[in-house]
Amino acid sequence: MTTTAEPRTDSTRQARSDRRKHLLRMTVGRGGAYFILVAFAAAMLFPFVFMAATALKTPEDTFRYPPTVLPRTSSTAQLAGEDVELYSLETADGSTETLYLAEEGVAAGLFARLDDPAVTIAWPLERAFDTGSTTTVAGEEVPVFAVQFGDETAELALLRSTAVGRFKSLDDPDVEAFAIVRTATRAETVDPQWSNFSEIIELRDFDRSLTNTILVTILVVGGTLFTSIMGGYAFSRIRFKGRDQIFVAYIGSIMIPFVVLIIPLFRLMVSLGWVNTLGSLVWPFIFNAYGTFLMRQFFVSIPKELEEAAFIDGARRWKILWRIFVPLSWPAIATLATFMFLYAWNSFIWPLVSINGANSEDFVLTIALQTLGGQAGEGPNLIFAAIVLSVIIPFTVFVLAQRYFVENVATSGIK
Amino acid sequence: MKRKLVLLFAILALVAAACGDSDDGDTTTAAPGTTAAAPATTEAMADVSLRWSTRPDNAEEAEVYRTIGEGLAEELGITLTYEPGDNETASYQQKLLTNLSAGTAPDVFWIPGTDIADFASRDVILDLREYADGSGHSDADFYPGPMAQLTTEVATGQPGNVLWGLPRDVSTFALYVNLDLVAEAGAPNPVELEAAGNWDLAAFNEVVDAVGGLGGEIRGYGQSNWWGPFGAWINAAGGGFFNAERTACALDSAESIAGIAALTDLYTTGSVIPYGDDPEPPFRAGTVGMFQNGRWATPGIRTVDFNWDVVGLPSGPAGPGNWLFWGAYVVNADTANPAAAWELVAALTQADVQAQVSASGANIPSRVSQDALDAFLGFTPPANNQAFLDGLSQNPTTEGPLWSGSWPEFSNLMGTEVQAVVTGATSIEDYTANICTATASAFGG
Amino acid sequence: MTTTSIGSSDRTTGLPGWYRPILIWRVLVALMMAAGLIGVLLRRGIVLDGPLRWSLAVTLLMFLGGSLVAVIDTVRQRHLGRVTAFFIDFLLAVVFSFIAFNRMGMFTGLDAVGEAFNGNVAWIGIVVLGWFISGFTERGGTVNESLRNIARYTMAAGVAVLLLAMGLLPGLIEFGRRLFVADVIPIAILAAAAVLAARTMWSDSAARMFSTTAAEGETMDGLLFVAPNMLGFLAFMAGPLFVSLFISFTEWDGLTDARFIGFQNYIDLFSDDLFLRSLRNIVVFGAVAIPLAVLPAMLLAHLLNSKLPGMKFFRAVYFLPSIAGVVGVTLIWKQLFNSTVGFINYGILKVTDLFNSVFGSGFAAGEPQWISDDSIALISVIILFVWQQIGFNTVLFLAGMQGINPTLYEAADIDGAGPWKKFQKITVPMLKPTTVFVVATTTILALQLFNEPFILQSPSPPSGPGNSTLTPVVYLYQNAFQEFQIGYASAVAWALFILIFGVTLLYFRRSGDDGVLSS
Repeated sequence: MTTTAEPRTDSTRQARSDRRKHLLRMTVGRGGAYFILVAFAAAMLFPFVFMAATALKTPEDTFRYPPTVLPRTSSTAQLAGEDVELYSLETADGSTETLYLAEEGVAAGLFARLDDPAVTIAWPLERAFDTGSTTTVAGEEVPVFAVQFGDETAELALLRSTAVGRFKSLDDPDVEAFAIVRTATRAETVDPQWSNFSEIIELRDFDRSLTNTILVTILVVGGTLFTSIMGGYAFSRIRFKGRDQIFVAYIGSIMIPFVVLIIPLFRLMVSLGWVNTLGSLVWPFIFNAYGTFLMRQFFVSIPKELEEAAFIDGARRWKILWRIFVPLSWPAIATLATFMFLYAWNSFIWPLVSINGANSEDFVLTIALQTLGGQAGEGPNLIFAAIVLSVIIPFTVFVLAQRYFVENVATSGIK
Repeated sequence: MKRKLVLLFAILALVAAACGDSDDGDTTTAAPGTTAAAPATTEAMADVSLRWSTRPDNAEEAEVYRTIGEGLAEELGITLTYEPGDNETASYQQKLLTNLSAGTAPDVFWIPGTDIADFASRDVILDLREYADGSGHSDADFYPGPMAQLTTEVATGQPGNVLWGLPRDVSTFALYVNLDLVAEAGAPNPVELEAAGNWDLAAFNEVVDAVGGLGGEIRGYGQSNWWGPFGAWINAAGGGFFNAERTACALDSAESIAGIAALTDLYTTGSVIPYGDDPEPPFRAGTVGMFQNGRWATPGIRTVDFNWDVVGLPSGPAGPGNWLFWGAYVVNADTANPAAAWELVAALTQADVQAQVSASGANIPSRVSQDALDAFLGFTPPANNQAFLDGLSQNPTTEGPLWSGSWPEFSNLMGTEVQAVVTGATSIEDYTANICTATASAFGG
Repeated sequence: MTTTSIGSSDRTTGLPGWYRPILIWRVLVALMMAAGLIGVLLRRGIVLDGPLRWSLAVTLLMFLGGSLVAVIDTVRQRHLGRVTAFFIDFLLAVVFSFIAFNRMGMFTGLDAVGEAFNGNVAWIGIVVLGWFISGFTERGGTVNESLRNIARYTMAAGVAVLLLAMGLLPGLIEFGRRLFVADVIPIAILAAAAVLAARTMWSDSAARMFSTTAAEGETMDGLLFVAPNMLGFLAFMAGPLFVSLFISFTEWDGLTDARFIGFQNYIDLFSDDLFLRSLRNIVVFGAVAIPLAVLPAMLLAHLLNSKLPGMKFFRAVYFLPSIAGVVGVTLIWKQLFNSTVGFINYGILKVTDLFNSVFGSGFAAGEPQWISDDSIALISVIILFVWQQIGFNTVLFLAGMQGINPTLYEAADIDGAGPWKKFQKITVPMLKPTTVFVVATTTILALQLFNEPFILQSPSPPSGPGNSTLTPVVYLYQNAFQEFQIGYASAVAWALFILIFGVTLLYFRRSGDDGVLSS
């Protein structure tokens, strides 16, 4: 799968045949490549498609078996001022028609054919008459009934009692059909429940969680950018004693896994009175060794001449940093910003520990989602609507700034 | 220009941050600090501000509590802040303990009956006896089972002159029945069987088999995997978790084993929702015949689109056996306003508040009064509310803590062992031999 | 800081006016430090957790020493005096401002902002509008001055309206009121004094008096610039790290006093079945999940690296799972894993049916309980982890592949090497540093596994059926925040830290061998 010039041969015929082979191989190769890529893409996308669709379902639709993707609801019609549910059923004359459920729980029997007991049908007892004779099915003696299907009558064995629904046509009151309601085919329409979103926002202050998350994210991103730019500049451009030792020690802290800090940080939050406040999610997280490292690497690459010219003008470092270095460093800043954005938006274990009260007003999205997910009472449709709300902003930012996300990954790889 | 603007914005935002809400600083900095030495009867009630919390079973119930809180704030003349907890079964109490250690817990909060001893022995809840004595409160107004636990001394594990709190409500198990499935399967209606006095294990198994026989995704029965559901089987067989003094394991008694054996039998041969899977979603989807749960499940079930009702648990070899579940409002030992907190506890458990909560469908009043019970019967659907009252009146075992030992540890260990035997990972013989040694460390003291 | 030669040549103007107050301030600070140290040692009126008390005492001791040096060198007018004095004042200003702001509830006040922000977030729209207008000001190289002004005023108006709507005025009044709360006043005064003193020491006048050289000035600049990072690092990382180490040697429930028990917690770890089980789980998890998250990623990156159309689209799609938060995607997968109504079991059923109808066989589709069966609960976590990690690793590999010198491939083409041979002989060896990095980061992530089992199993305990999804971090969390064995949980944390550190070192060593990683 490369674009290369083929080696020249003397015989053009030979070359042509080579090219044909090459083309064939490339087509097969490309087909295979696309097949694999599409298969993986489908696996990556399906859960999100499922998410979006489930967010638009009714609660009962989410529990349906077999599961379906599209949100559907039963079609209904107005009959004498009341909503009736519509079903798609086969009537006595063999045609399939749209009927409504007129009566539930009609006493019925499960009848089996005498010659083949595996073929059964549920039919109301009002259309069947005991013949008085019996037959043996699976070693048990069961009564034989004369069962009416429209104009026809058949002798069938009654296996056990059951219940069916009486279905009628909206247009012709004489058209009637019987079937087990649970397994009858419902007439359905795709019907997205957009109200799920407004419901989830009203329920449990979800809008407040969204606002809190936005606020925390803005402050973490802004704060980290500020400290990283300051530190990166000092480590790249100011010569002071012990600089390299401090730098190595600071960068070494990248290796400290966060889990080892959870307990003491929580105790610190207790001491400061920051438990159950958004501040506990912001202030400890605006000092980031990785960010400082990233900014330093970028600043090192900026030519010295720019700075020296400014020094001659008598500008102080502070001014030089913000007037000259920062405007030149947008790629690095954007990369760091996306990194911190994802981190702040999605962090879970720390909010779980530090925002552990019962007051939903200081929840962030991850905690609100987790709380919601633990509630048996709420249907999955509402939980999924909440998930949609929580991923829509990262996805939008990703679409707008894809380059920086990928760059962020690439730079962390070089690290 | 642009940068200065941003800077200005940032600074002003920080200032507004601190001050946007003048109450905020007070609630965070004035966390419950010192324990008041004596009951401050002269507290200026208008300045008193209390936070309280419960574990609501659903969003509607959280709204009910919020409304109740607003009413009581007016009645008591204090500022009340309601904080609904999430309803994860175990983490609610653990979060409370963490907040108690951080000094950020509410002044008044609800805890399940099983956790009273744990909280009391950690010294994080207040003995309310001296406040109660002067207030016209009588222990006899409530179900005696919960009150016996609420008046137990930590040191001795014996009844004493203490009061740890007042029960919010009580509950018990019933079976939620999908009547459409039962009719389709041609099985006898359990509600009618119960009315005729024929609702025993054999009849129960018959219905499970009949409904399960419909095939496909249909299952006959489902129950959850925490201690209550399997405990009900032990109770119905005449067994129990502990000995009568609640000081040692009784899970290996012949009766207790009979209960677990019956449950294991059902799960290995019957058509059931796999043990450990939440049976509520499939029940609500209409694919489960019977579903064992407490009154708290009723509001959720009310939204389903099939015909349903409730029926009592089938009576076991030792007759009917069920749970009396309960939880209590208790007071944070570090509260700044203990007297006001007691008044709130008393107000939250008064008859009309309990009626308000019960109307939402999830609870049964904890006061023993015919009026309350009569009112409860009217909160339909389900039509057969009597099933819950029967569960409470026919020899239920009261949910209760371990005064000499650790209930959370016991329930964890026991749950793991029972799960193993019910899912077939261990044999009933091994279970019998090991269950009391496996849970012994919970009594370690 | 080193001592510098005494600069006394330039003392023609005599002592500046600020010299005497500063000297008094210096002595006051030294006395304050001494008093604080004695107070902490006697534990009078200071209620602090054990390790915090000792670190505070050490800090105060260092400050006291520094203050003494500062006093002496200020009198002698040595340069060291200026540097020490400046940094002590600077730190005091930071600490006192912090305490004052904390007492005023400034840091926790974010919640109030959240509330005010919530109803008024729409006003940001005006600012965004202004931003858009400013985008049009530089069309075609010429700057439209009036349009730019409109943009500025729109943005300013937006900010103003937002702040007013959020309650800026009552907020400012409240700020003023809290400033005069009794216990804030003295701290605020001290903070202001420290700020003044630091400013004075920073001034050119002080620099002249202490005969500061350019290099020394640069050192002060440098330390000042790294100060935010260093203070944050000390307060929120290094400090807590050592506190954590200390706690791991104690028995502590967080409610009562801690008891020092030496290495007992660590000794207990080795005989703790649950901890060993968590290690076993994480090893099994890593052994399966890491290859699954790395090897397909390499293949995908190789395919993406071909210059076929549509690769950007695929790259974006693969990246999506790592952008969506772990809580959201885990809840999605929890529904997919549902054994009765989930899509995965339905898919298994359909595939089995298809297989049976094609081959006429009679396999029965099982109905695995992905989450509640102790033999496969860990597998569901693995599937979820791999699904979320694979795209991220793909992009990492892609970045590594794009760094490979294309002439290598051109040379291989001339030699007539096929695509597989090129992949085998060029891509894989050249990709070794990236591979080591990907494996290392994936391993470190896997060792810290927590979110997935926690949310998948919720509301059941995150340790899963029969402790099958008990990971070290889950065990740490349960000990620290559910069973209140904080000392023991800290020991678990440090054991895990050592494990992760070992993996990291191994990775450094491996990539160091290849001479790729410098600094």
